[in-house]
Amino acid sequence: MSNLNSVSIMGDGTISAGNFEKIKIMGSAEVVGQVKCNFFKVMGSCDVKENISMEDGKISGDVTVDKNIEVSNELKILGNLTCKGNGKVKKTVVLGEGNINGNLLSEEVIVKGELNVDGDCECTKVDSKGSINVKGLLTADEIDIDSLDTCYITEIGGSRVTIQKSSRTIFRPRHGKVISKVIEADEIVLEDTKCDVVRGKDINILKGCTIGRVEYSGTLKVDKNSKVLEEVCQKN
Amino acid sequence: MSEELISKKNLLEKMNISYGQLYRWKRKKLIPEEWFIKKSVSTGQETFFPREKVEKRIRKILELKDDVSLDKLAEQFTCDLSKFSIEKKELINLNIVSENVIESFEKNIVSVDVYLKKEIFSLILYNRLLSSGKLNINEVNEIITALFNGYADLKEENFIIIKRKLGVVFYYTLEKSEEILIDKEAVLLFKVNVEEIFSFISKIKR
Repeated sequence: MSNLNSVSIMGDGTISAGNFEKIKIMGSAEVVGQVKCNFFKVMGSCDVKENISMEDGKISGDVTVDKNIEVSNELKILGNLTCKGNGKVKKTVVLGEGNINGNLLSEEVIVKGELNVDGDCECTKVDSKGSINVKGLLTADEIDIDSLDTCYITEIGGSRVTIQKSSRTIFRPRHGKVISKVIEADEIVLEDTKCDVVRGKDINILKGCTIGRVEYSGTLKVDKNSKVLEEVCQKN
Repeated sequence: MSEELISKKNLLEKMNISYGQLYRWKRKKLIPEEWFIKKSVSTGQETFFPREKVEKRIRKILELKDDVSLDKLAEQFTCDLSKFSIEKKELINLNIVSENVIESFEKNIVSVDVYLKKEIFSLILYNRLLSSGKLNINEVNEIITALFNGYADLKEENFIIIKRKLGVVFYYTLEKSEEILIDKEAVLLFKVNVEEIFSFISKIKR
């Protein structure tokens, strides 16, 4: 892509379909066609009417994508991104607010702001110290959630799921809890979590949890300040 | 007839796999989304799978996973093959089909320079039916035209049955390999395994 043109908009502008080296928007722009670029940077506002794909993206302003977004390397959201379709991103870093109306496929997701996914969120690794809400399934090999606010995640599944407050709470007290219907993993650690059913091999329920039913095949520990209505051991 | 289902937890125990593995294979599309069937049971919502299909698939994954990457495995399993394409001349160079067969196919079914999965599937079956000598050209054209038009409804687990009764050829697809009611007067000409053809196509890809 080295011989491609770059586009820079300082006021109002329109970008039509094409392949670009860099797209830099400091004002207000509308992207009316399908666009591919190496680097996409928005400091103002941008409406993308078609699919957009890029190597790296940095959103400091407001971006709305009417269809799908694809990022082959890193997408950093410092401002606000709303994608009405699906997102496919290698590494997603949310410091501001990210809203995906479809599914999000991302190898790595780091959330310090707020991420909302209406479909499924499929990853290899999820690390959230902000707020993450998923209406479908959140699945990854490793899921680490240290929630700032109440997070609603319908289903959680993976290899290792840890929902636990970090010990560094002096300047930013963390009151958040996670509310879910089903959590399934091989190793599960839960704190301040409300869940209907928890299934796994080795499960550690820390303080502040209300769980309807726990099914485990390895070990189960339950803090005295948590409530588990039903425990089912499924060892052979 | 509904197929037998197995619950997720029984599946993990029976196949000796972990939650992590199952969810990873789901993400990699090694186990299709539609095989995850949610049902309400007395203990809440549970996930079930078509038992025979999922056990067969998991055995295959376990057999191959150390030799082939999960992404390559997914390409082999998925009948989507959505990125597959091959040029006509390459089909001839690779001896997939002869030039005469392609000419006949293009004259009677569809003419393209680049074959996508629908065209290549139809062409391979066209070649097999013609080469067998059991069907005449008009019968082959009719069957392949019907298949080509109904391709979108075809699934990996289907079988295409072609029979002849009293001189008339008829054809239909089956969800599973066994028929329930069999017309003893009809002669079975072909029982085409759709999965086998998709597997053949995936090996053409490089």
